[in-house]
Amino acid sequence: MESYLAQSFSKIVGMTGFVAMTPGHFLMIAVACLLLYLAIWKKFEPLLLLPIGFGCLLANLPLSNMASDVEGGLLNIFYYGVKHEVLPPLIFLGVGALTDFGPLLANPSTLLLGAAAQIGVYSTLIGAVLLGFNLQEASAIGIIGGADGPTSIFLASKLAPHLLGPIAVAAYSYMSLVPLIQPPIMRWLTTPEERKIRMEQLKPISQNVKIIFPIASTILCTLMLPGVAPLLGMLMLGNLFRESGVTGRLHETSETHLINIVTILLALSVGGSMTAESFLKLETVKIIVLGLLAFCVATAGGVLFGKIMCKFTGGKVNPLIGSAGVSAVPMAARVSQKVGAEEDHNNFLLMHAMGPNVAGVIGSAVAAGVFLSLFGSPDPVSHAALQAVSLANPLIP
Amino acid sequence: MSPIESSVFVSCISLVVIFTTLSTLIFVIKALVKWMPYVPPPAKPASSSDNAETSEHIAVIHSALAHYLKKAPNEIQITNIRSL
Repeated sequence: MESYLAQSFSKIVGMTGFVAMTPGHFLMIAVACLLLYLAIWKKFEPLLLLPIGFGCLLANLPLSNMASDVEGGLLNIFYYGVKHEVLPPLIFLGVGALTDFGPLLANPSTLLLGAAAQIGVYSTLIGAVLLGFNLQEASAIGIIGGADGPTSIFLASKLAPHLLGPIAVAAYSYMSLVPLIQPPIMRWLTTPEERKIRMEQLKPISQNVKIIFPIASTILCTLMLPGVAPLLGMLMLGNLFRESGVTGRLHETSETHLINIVTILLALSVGGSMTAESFLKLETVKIIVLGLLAFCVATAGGVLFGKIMCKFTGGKVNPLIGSAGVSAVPMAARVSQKVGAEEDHNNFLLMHAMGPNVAGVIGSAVAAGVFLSLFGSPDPVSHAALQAVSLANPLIP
Repeated sequence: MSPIESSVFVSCISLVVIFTTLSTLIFVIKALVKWMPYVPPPAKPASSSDNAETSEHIAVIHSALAHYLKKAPNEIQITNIRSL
């Protein structure tokens, strides 16, 4: 009887996760708790870091099989949405529905600031190659400089899926630190006189232009760079929902419920990809360092190009709005406003900075499209899916 | 070509593509704005009695709102009011 009890007890103990715990699991649970702490108590991008942290926690509790790709773990099923290019474009749909392109349309030359800030992406690409990453991995790491979480996840899942967890965590962590990272660089690169420059009030834009812009830009950009279609197409569709005025329900759903649901799924699946085997590597440290470099150079690139525009326009452009060329909508624009207001309390740069801020979203999507055109290969999954559909449907040849 | 050279080459090419794409978008936007300029909506003619009535309404709403928010009237500002 006693031996039976002992056997049963040891069997029960053997079934618990405690027995299967490894030092890697302990470390990853600590990382998950750190992310939860930053999200809840420090308010660093809580909408993303909280589900990422919890996803990481679930994925690293041994024997739960939440992130298992063999046993059909729940987080792994969510991850199919990342792997099959579904979730990041849906986030872009919501971002498009939330964003007013008016400031960009009123001052289209600010698109160049969005392009200039992409220099952070390319300097990081070179830095990553110097640190031993291959070109595909370096591209996925470099896009962190675009300060655009969904684009980073989208590109990492295509070019370097094994680095998805560290890239996503670096992208979102630094995005939340934009108010701390950008101001010193902005102050260092500009003079007090430049920071005091007041910009002319933006001209109003006709509703027809706001409606036609998403359609025209989708046609143009997709024809130039077919790789941008999933991200840019969804961004512009969301914006068309907003501006057309005839799809109130779709607009409302895109900017609220849909983006919230997709955020939960995306963040949980990213957290689920942060297993000890994939995260506890020297590469993770390198990615975190490179991510910071990407943000700093992108900010500097935007501000320096803002200074060039300031010179060419005879002092009509405040260089501070250049820093908003990194995406991070609308936080980067708010930082431009804040640093400008430090010099002159009545200087309102927010709406002017929204132009380059939106341009940064388009710029980082275009940068991702360029990388996909250069390094992306035809996705075998899509072909398999197509074959399955064609087998099931005799009408499809 | 070494990996470093490749990365520099890729960076230069990509920056050129990005600037070209976004510069083309700038021309598209400028053309759209030129073809379809903003036309302000026709202003609603308002009589002097209407104005006086509106000012009175604003004053009443202002003081009521200030009282509700437990603030002095000069601490809040009503910027817009429209009658339906």
